[in-house]
Amino acid sequence: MLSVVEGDQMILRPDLDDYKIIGHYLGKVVIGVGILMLVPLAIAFGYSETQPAIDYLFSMSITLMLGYLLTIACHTKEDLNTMHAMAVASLAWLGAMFVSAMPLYLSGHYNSYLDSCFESMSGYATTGLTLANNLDHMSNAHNFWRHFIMFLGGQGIVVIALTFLFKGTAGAFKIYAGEARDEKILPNVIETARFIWLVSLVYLVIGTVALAVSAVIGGLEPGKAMFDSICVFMAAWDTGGFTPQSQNILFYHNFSFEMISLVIMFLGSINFALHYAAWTGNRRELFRNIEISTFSVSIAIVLSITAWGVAAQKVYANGTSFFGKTFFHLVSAHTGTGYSTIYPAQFVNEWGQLAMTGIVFAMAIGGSVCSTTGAIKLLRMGVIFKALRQDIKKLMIPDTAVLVQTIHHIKDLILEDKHVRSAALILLAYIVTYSIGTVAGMLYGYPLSEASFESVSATANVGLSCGITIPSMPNGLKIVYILQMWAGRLEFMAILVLGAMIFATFRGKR
Amino acid sequence: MRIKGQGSRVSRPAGIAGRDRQGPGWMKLGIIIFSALILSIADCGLLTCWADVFSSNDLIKDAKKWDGYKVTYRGEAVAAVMDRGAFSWVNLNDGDNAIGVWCSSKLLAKTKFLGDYKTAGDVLEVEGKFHRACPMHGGDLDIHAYSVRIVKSGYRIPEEIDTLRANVSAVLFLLIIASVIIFKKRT
Repeated sequence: MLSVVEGDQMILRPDLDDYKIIGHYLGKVVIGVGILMLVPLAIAFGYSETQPAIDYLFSMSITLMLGYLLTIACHTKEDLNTMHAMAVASLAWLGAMFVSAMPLYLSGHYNSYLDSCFESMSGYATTGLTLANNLDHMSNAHNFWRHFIMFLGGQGIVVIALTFLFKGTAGAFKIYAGEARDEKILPNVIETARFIWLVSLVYLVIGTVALAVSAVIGGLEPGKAMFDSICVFMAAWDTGGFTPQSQNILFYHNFSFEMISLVIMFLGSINFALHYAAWTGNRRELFRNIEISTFSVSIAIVLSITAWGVAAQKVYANGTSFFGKTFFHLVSAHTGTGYSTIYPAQFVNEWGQLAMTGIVFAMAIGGSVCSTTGAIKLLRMGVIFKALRQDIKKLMIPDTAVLVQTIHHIKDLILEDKHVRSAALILLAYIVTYSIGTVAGMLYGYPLSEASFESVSATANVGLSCGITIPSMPNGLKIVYILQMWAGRLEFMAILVLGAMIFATFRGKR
Repeated sequence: MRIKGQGSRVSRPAGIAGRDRQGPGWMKLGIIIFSALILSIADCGLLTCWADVFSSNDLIKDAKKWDGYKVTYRGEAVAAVMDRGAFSWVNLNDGDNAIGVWCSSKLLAKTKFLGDYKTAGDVLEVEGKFHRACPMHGGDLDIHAYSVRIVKSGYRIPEEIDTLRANVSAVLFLLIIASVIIFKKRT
């Protein structure tokens, strides 16, 4: 006999074993981050940077010690279930943020440990907002670490730790979904993760060489050109937005460098499934896919709004400057990268409210699912738009007629209520989070337009700033933005499961 | 290295004096001649000699106000001089922001130190035309300088080593290696 059970009555209280499983895998991820600190340590040795080398040796030792203590204290041979995987995914990002901030703090470029945690989360979440002081004098090792954690975050730190550093278990790969990578491009998750890495590494080589050649032609000496190009590629491909110099991309004064980084940003924002389609010769997919069509429409609308706003301010004297600046920043915002060739204050003082609104819309929508971008994402916007169109059509056809709405995303799909519900829930979660950050900014005395700009930029993991994000900003707002970046990158579900688990600890049934 | 700007007084052209309705005709003529003289001096850039240095915050915050004016700006040359043939780019950081300066490559020939982790760059003072959105350089905010002088020479920064942190790191690292080996053997 079927019985109806209310949702609350089904929540079971997690027992000690559940916490041990989570702690064990969390420890593994922390160890993974510690091992990855060997890379900036090697960079420090390569550039003869002694103090940074000590910083990384110290941080790596502490990180490894914490990781091993956690794995030993929570030793278990049990595998992960979905709840554990989600909890590990969300906690691992906080753990990685905390330990990765250590060398940054020791560098002396941050006012507090909170600031270095902000930088670290901004890196992992591929946001690109920075609180670094005196960036132009930062060591190469520390600067590389900022970009490297951005690359790791874009690829998914938990997946990296579990696929490359440890033997993955079946349950471990449930974490893949927890890191907002819920699409299987290939039949299994391991092959999918490997394909993502293959694509990323191929583009890493091509993109870095292209950027370096452009930088050398632009007058940079080859060593500096190569170092900066690797950093800029990692941040552009993973739609992050950090750069080695304080002026962001403006430092290079190089149009071709900007255009190459623009192409990399665009490629980074495209669904890996579309990369797979293109790689396997299925180029028709690029023209039929709902995300590409949504992107085209969306960019046309937000470009019109932004261009109208910028044109009204009469800032740029010729069409090349006007279109170049507007289009670059719009693509940077839409792909969630946050690269900029203007100063933050210029958004407010020179571009004006309408152009800022266009940029906010672009940031809020974001790029493709199963890419390195944050925000609501194109597939969900496309699904919601199609559902809206279907509902309007239903009102206009006879009651007896049956209307079937299809979408094309890799394959033809019939649009069902479950697709719309899923997209609408995430959309709602993003809007609520954007609003919370905006209200928080306003409570600290910032105007609505600036507070919303920064809030959306943090949640959507973009990194464009209109000037709020500076080292002297209020600590409370720094914490709000850290939480927004975290929630936005993981797309809420893993964090909601973690919240539910904490709730169940106190209110669940035994 | 922080070099603070000295305020926002500048070499902008002086305004035309207000009309003196009560004064005699020769006084009006005198005011007009004096104003024309001031304008011509300002236009040929001589007035910048008396001007204070702009800060980057002044220029960025009030970019529209100073667009097209001759300004004096001072900052540390950072990272690289990007040679583009007859002209070069150098970015000057005054402690708050860095601003790109476009000038003749000859003017930068004496710049030896460029700021990075191991180097305090030469502090350059430039005089030139400020653009909030340079039409020649894709709308970048920049200064086209016609004079550059080194006001403070850069130097190599000696690396300060924290020996306590180095020793603690070495001990911790050895400890962790030993712990891992012991743990692996036991399991």
